[in-house]
Amino acid sequence: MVGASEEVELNRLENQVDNGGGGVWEYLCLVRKLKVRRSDKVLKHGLSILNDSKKRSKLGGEEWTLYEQVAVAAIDCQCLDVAKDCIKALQKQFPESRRVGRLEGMLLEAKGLWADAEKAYSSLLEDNPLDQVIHKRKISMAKAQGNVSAAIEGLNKYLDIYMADHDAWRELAEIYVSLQLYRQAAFCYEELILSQPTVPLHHLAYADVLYTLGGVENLQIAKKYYAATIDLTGGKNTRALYGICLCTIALGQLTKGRNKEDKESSELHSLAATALGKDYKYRAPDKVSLLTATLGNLKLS
Amino acid sequence: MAEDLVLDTAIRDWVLIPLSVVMVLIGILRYFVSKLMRSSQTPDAKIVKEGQIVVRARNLRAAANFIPAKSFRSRRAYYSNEENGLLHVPKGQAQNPQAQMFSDPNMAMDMMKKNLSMIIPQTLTFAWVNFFFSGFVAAKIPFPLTQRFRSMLQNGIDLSSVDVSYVSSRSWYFLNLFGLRGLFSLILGEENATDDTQRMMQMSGFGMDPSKSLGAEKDSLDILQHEWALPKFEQRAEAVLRKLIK
Amino acid sequence: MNIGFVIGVFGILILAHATYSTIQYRSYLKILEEEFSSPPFNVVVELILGLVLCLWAALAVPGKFLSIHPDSEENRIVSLPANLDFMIFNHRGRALPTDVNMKLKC
Repeated sequence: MVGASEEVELNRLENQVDNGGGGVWEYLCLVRKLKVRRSDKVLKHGLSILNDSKKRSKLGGEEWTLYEQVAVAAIDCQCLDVAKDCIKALQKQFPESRRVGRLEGMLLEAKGLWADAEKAYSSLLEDNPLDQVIHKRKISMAKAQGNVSAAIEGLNKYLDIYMADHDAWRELAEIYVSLQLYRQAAFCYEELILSQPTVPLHHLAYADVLYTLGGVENLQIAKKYYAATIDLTGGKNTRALYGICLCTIALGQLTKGRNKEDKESSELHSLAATALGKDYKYRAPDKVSLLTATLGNLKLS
Repeated sequence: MAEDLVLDTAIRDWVLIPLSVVMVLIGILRYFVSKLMRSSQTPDAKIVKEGQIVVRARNLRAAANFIPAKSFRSRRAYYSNEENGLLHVPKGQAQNPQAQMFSDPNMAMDMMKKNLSMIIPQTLTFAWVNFFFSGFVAAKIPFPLTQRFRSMLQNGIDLSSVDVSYVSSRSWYFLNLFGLRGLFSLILGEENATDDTQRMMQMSGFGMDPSKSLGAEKDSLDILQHEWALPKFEQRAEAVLRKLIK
Repeated sequence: MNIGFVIGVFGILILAHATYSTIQYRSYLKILEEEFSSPPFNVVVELILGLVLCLWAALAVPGKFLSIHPDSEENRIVSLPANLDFMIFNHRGRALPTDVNMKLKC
C-alpha cells in the first residue's frame, strides 16, 4: 500500500536522485518496499550502483537483491543485455536457485520466446509444484500473449487453491473489468474488500463496478461505497466525490416520478459538490469553471 | 533449620560453572544439528488449500459487515452448506494423525529425527552428570523456599535436614535444561529458541487435525449475524465532508 | 525530546527522594517504637508528582505517536502497489527503446 506521506517521500527521493543527489540506495529500497513500477529509473540508478564496485561492496548481502531488482527492471525496459548480465551474475552466486530460474523465464518472456519460457516454468514447477510466483508468471504469460480467457482460467485454477491471495483476486478483477464482465468483477472486488477492508481503493473500485452495472439497487449500493471511500480517505479522493454526484443524479433519473426517498442523500450530494469545488479551487484554480459547468450540466440533464 | 553450609569454591569452579557452560554449548550444538537434519518438507496441496480456506473464511467473518447482505449470504452458503461447502468436512474422511503417520513414512522419519536430536544428547548429558556430579550440593539460592521444592531442587540428595534453598548438582542440571530458553533466544535469535519444554509441547500437539479448524470456522460462520455497515458510512462521509468544507 | 528527558530525570530524582524520606521516616518511627501505618502526606504528594513526571517523560521521550485514523496523512492510501507478480513485458515500452548504451560492467 502506498500511503500519502510515502508517496511524497518517494517523489522527493526520485527528484533528488534524478538531479544527481545522493540517496540512490534509499530510493531503490523505497521502490522495492512500496512495489511501485519505476523500471526505467531503477534500471538507470541501480546500474550506477552496480557498476561502482566500491558502492556495490558496501551493500554486502543486499547486493544480490539489487541485482534481482535491476534484472527485472531491465527486462521491463527491454534492455535484455543488461538483464542477461545480471542474471548471469546471480546464477554464479546462486546456482540452482528457483528464484534465478524464474528470472531466466522472465527474460525468455521478454524476448517473446513463449514456448521456451513455458518450458522453463514447467520444469521449475516440477521441482516445487506449489510455487505461487511461478503459477502467477504462467498466468501473466497467457495474458501477455493476448489469451485472456486462458489467463482467466489459470487464475481461477490458481485461486481455487490459493484463495487468500488478494493480489490474484485483484488481477482477476481487473481482467474481468477489461472484458466488461462486471458481475464477476464485483465478486472479486467483494473478495478484496473482505481481505483488506480498510483499503479505500477497493471500495472505490467496487463502487465503480456497481455504478457501471446500473439499476436502482446497484446505484444505491455504489453510492454507499463511494461514501465509504470518502470516509476512509477523509474526502480527499476526487473520484469518489464525482461518484457520489453521478450516483445521485442517476438515481434521481431512475426514481423520477416515484416518491422521493430520504432527503439526506441529496445533502451528501451537495456536500460532495462543494468539496469538489473547494478542492479544485485549491489545486487547479483554472479548471474551476469547467467543474461548475460540468456539475451544472449534470443537474440539468 | 540447619546451620549454614560452607561450600567449597572448587565446587563453583569445577561443577557449577562447567555444568552451565556445557548445557549452553549442548543447546547450541543441538540447534545446529537439528538445522542440518531438518528436511525441507513440501506441503501437500490439500493442506495448503485448507489453510487458505481457513484464512479466507476468517477474512469473511472479520469483514462481513463491509459487503452487502446478499453477497454475504451467498458466500456463507458457499462455505458452509452441508453438501459440498468448502468448510464442510464429511464425517469419517477426517484422517486421524496416527493413521496419517503410518501411511506416510516421511512423517515418521521426521519425527524420528526430531526425537533423535532431542533424546540422545539429553540422555548422554544426564548420564554424564549422574556419573560425575551426583550427590552433592552445588549452589544455594538467595531466598528461602518451602519443603515442596525439595524434590525439585535437591534431586539426588536424600537428606531432609538440609535447607531447601541449597541446590544439588543434578537439580542444577535440570534447572539449566529447562531454564536456558532466554539465553538461547539471545544467542540464536528470537525465533530459534526452542528449549526442551517447548519441544515436548510440540511433540504432543503434533499432527493437529486440520479438519477441526475447518469445523470451528464453519461453526463461527454459522452463528455470525450480518449487519451491513455501509449505511452508517453515508452519515460518516457527510460528517467528514462537512468538516472538510468548513 | 530534550525537555522530556530532563523532566524524566527530575521525576526519577523526586521518586528517589521520596524513597529516602520514607526510609528515614521509618527509622524515626523505629526509634519512637511506633507502628508504621502510612507514609507521611508530603511523601505521598512527592510520589504522585514523581509518577506524573515520569509518565510524561515515558510518553514524550521514546518517540512520536502515530495516527490511527485511516484518513491521516501517514495512513491514507493513495495508490495500490503495482501488481508486480503479474507484470507483463510486451507493453509499449517495447516500441520505445530506452538508452541503449547501458551496460553492466563486471
